[in-house]
Amino acid sequence: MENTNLKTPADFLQKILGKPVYVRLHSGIYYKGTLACLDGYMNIALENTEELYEGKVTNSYGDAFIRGNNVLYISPA
Amino acid sequence: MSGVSMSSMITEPLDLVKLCLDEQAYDQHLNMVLEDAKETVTNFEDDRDQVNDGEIGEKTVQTHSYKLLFVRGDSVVLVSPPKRA
Repeated sequence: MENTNLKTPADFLQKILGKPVYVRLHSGIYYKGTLACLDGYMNIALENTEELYEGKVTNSYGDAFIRGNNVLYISPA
Repeated sequence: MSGVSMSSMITEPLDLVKLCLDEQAYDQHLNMVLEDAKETVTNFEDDRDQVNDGEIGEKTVQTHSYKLLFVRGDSVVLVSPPKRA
């Protein structure tokens, strides 16, 4: 396996802090930005964020807070 | 303020909300009381039966203004500081 040092999902999230990520919400919207921090609710702070819907950029934010209950997944970009 | 300089002040996501809402009342659920709020409702008429795939119906935009507005936190998706000119 490639990431044998990864033990838990929390370890994965720690590893991708400060890196560019895709965050997908249940609504189907994606946010692409730098993962500034996150908490136990999976609330997320992103920097230099682009909002994408159906492949098109629909908005951009310098900083964005995303409420954790809306999050479907987080993936390194 | 750029995202880079802000990152040093943010250690948890709610710190960003604190920066956005320093003048307003809010709590950990993201319940918040907004002053001079503007609501924008965008609707697309759903007539997919008559329209070709991928096309959307007519767009209508309604706006409402509120001197004071309480927003229940569970419907919040995203909070971001207003854009600076």
